[in-house]
Amino acid sequence: MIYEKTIRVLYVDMKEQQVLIVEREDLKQYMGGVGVASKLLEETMRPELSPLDPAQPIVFAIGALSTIYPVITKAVAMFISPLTGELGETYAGGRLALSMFSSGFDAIVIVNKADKPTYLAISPNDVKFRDARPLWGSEKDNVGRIIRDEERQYAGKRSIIRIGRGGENQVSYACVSVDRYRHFGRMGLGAVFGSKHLKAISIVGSREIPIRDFGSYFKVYREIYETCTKSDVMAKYHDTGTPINVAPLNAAGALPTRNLQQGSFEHADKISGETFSQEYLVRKVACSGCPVGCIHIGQFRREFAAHGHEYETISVGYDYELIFALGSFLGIGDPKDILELIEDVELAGLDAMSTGVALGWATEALKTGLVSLDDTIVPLTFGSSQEYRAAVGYIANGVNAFYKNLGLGVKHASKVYGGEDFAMQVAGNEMAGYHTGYGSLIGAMVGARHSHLCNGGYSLDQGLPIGKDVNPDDMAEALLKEELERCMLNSLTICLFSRKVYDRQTILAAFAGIGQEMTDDDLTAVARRIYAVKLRIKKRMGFDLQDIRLPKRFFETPSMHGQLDEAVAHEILMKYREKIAALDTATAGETE
Amino acid sequence: MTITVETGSWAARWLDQRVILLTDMPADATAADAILAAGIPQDEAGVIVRNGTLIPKDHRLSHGDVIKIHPIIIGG
Ligand code: SF4
Repeated sequence: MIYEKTIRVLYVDMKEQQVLIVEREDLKQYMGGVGVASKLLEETMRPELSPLDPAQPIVFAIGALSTIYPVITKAVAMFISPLTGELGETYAGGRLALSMFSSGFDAIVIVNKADKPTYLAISPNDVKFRDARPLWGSEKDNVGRIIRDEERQYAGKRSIIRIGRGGENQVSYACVSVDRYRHFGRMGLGAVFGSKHLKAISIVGSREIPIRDFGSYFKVYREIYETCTKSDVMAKYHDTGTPINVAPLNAAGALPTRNLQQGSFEHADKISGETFSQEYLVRKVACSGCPVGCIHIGQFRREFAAHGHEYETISVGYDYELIFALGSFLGIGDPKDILELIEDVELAGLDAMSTGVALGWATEALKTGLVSLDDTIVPLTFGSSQEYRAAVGYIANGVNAFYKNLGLGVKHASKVYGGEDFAMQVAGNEMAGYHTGYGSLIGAMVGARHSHLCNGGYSLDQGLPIGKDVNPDDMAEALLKEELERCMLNSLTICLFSRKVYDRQTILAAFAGIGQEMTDDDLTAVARRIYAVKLRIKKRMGFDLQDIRLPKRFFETPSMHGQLDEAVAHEILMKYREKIAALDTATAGETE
Repeated sequence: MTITVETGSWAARWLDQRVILLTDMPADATAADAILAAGIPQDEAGVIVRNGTLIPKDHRLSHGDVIKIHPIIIGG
C-alpha cells in the first residue's frame, strides 16, 4: 500500500476456485483497513440472504501504515455477522498484517462455498485451493503445524489462520485463530468460514519496499518507538497487561460477576492480574512489528493419564476479557480453572467472551427452571469449572437442541427458553467486561459492531466524576466523536492499545515520514466517509437503534456510577440517533 | 494532616513501597493532592476508594484517612 496509488484486492471464489486481482484507485479515499474493508463489504454483501449464506463475503484488509511504524499490527475482517445479523467487524494481530503486506495484497474478498473442506494457500503469485478434508475436525494447533509443513516450499513471512469445531459447526460466535495466540474473536467470523467450507488460510510473502527518504522516516519511527518503550503510556500493557483491570473494576463494582448478578467478586484477589503474574505468567510475546509485547502467556500443569504420574504443561494466552468472561462471570475464582477453560474454548474455536456470557445465562436458566438437566446435560452452577469445560465442548459440537440454540447466541437462546431479562447481550452481541455506566452500555448499543472497542465507552465512564449526573447530550456527543476517531485509527490498523501514542499530530508526522502530506481535515474527512459506509451497511441489513431491547439486569445491578436509569439510557440513545441522522451518510464526500 | 495511601504492584514503576504515609498534607487536601504527593502520575491513578466507598479525585480528605489507589482501567 505504501507509495502505491491503488489498493490491490484479491478476489477469491471458493466454489469456482477462481481468483481475480484488481488494482483499485477509487478505494484510496478510504485510506485502508476498516475503510477499505467496509467499502468492499458494502459492494459485495447480499442483504437479502442470511449471514451464513455462502454468497456472503468475507473481507480482510490491512491499513495505510501497516507494518511501517511500531504497533501498527492489525488486520481487519468484515462480514455479515451470524450473531447480530448485521455489520460484522473484528481485528487480529499476530503475523497476519505483515504476511498480507509481504504478499502484496492490501485486501482479500472471499465468496461462495467450496465443494469440500478447503484451505487457501496464498502467495504473491499464486492462490492454491487445497483439500482440507483431513484437517476438518482438527483443532487449531494441529492444523497450523500440518499447513506449515505442507506449504514450506513457499518461503517468507507466513501467517496461518484457521477455525476449530465451533466454526465448522457454524456456532454463531465461533472465532478464527490467528497464528499461535491471536484471534478474530468476536461476532462469528469462524462460522462464516465454516459456511464456505473454508478451514484455513495460509498467506506468505517476502516483498520488501525500500523507504525512499530513510532519514525523515526514521526520525518519526524513533520518536514513536521511544514513546512505546520508554514512557508510561504502554508500560502497563507489557507489565501486568490488561488483567490489571480486575482489581480496579472490582473495587468500582464494575466487574461483571455471576451473570452480572453482582458487580464485584469475593475472589477477585485470587484472579487479579497480580496473582496471574506472580503464579502463572511464564512469558510475554508480541505481534509482529510491536515493541511492547502485551500478550501474556500463562502455564499450568495437567495430568493426562489416570495412572503413572503422567503430566503435561499447557501454555495459554490470557487477558482481562478472558478472565472476566471465564472467571468472575461464571463465579470461578481459581486461576488454574480459568486457564483450563481458556484452553478448552481455544481448542473448540469459540469466542471466549460470548461463550462465558452464554454459559452465565445457561447457569441461571437452569437454576430458575427455564431449562432442565436434560438440556444442559451437566449441572451448571456458578463456580463449577469442570461442568463448564464439558459445556464448551457441547456448544462447539451442538450436541442437542439446547446447546445448538445456545450456540446461536444468548439473545437467541433466551428468546427460545425465556430469561431475556438476564441474557446479557447488547443488540445480539454478548456483553464485555465493563459495567462502568452509561458510556459502556450505550457505547455498545450505538457502536457499529456493538463492541466496547467501537468507542471505548468504559473509558468515558472512567473520566466522569463519581456521584454526578450524566448529561445525555454530552455523552452521545462524546461517543460519536470517539466512534468517528476510531474509524480513522482503524483505517490505519493501529493497535488500539497504542491510541494515546498515535494522536493526530503523530499520525500526520507518520504520513509525512513516508512522503505523504496529509492534513488534520483529511483525517476527519476519512473518518466521516468510513462511518457513513458502515451506517449504510447497517441500514441495508435493517438495523435501527430504536429496536434494541436491553436485558433488565443492566439496570438492576449497580454500576460504577450507581444504578443506571432506563429513561436516561433511552435519552442518550435517542440523542445519538438524532446526531447520526444529521450526518451526510449518502455520500460523505465519496467519489466514484 | 496525615493521609495513608495504599497502592499495589502496578505502582512499582514510581514507588518503592506499597503503603505511603503522608504526614504533612494541608487541611484542604484532596485525593488528587495525595496522589501527587505520593509520587503517582495523575493519569495512572484510576479508581480511588476510601472506607470501601469510591471517591472522586477532587474529594476533600480528612486527617487519618486511608485511601486505596487502583490503576486506571486500560484496554482498547
Ligand atoms: S500492544 Fe499487544 S496486542 Fe497491541 S500490537 Fe503489541 S503485542 Fe499486539
